[in-house]
Amino acid sequence: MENTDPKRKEIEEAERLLDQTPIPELTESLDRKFYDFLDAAITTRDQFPQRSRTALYWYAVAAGIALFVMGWLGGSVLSTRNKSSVEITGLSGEVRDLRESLALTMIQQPLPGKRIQAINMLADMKNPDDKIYATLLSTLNHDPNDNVRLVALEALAKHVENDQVMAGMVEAIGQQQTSPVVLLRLTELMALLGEKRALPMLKSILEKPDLNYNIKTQIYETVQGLS
Amino acid sequence: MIFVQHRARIILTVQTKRPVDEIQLMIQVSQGDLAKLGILYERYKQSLFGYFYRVTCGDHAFSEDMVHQVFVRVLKYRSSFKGTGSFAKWVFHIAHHIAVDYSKSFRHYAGPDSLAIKPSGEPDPYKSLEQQEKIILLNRALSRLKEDDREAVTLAKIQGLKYQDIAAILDTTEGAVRVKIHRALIELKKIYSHLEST
Repeated sequence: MENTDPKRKEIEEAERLLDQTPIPELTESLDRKFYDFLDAAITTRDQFPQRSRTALYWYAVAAGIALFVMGWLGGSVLSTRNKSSVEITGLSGEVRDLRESLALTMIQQPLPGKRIQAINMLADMKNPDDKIYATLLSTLNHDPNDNVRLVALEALAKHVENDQVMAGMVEAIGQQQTSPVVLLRLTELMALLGEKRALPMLKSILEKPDLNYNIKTQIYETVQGLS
Repeated sequence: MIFVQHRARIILTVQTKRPVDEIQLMIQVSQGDLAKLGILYERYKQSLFGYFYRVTCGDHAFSEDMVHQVFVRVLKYRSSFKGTGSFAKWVFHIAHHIAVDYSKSFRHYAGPDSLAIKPSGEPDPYKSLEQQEKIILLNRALSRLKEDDREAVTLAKIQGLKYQDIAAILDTTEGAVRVKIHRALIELKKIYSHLEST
């Protein structure tokens, strides 16, 4: 028997509408992105097998204690020999250089996880130099992985007071059209910082016909806000 | 090439070992057999994409990006999967949180109508003009629903999710979900008919 309840009928019609209106197919780029990510996760896991979390925690604790003891011993030796504080500064400078070299090597690794680790190491460094900024900017512009680029952007966002960084971020806007998330975050930062230098780049992006609609809306709002 | 090898292996597994229990698969992932995530990805990518596509009123690029984010979180929080509920419920719970984050990002500048407009220049997979108009109209009608109503009707259309699961995902009761979905569907039909006649 046919249902005559008008509300029931409306519900059925709405359900039919949802069922019959198709959803597009996924693009292959999602598969590629996912399997790259999974490969990286599997490889990282193979390098740090099962006990990883607990073991890594204790390794970190042990390394911390070892560093403390070494520091203490180093300090004692230096003080007994009446060495000046300039030498201690020199030692910490060498450690810093070592960390920086390690991070700059790691950032060349094929695994996205390693590159993210490298960016985090660079981001943690106090008083980063131009070389670090240039590396992070190059990663933001050229890394094939969206997540790596996003992490590089977050690291750079902590140094917007630096002219080289700010100018680089403005230029990077033009490079990010394959990743809506990175472009969106960059646009948000420009709006937040009131960065007028971004205006020409943002305006030129607005003219692109194939731009994601929501990004376009945000860029439009940002351009309005900055003008 | 690693990508091709993994993919081929996963597709083969899906084809020859169906039905594989999803809870068991996820437990294996949480115990370190990460390759099993590929099977779950193949099974859920399209329904997750459909969910995001409806929730974002037709934003293809963002929807794909969010599907990826779901699996990044699945892997990140794999140890929190206890196997007490279905994998579908757990994964859509993650998807819900990602959709909420998306919604927060756009709340301040996207008007309800604007969201429904299809991005220009995007390759169109549909041949029929009538079908295209239907999609645009539906997206526009969905965008005029309240966010939580839109999400509820979308979740209700996902195979394998019961009202009870949807209630857990949306953090409410089963009865409330049932009422919400019914009201939202009536509202959706009303908006759609109005848009169709104008």
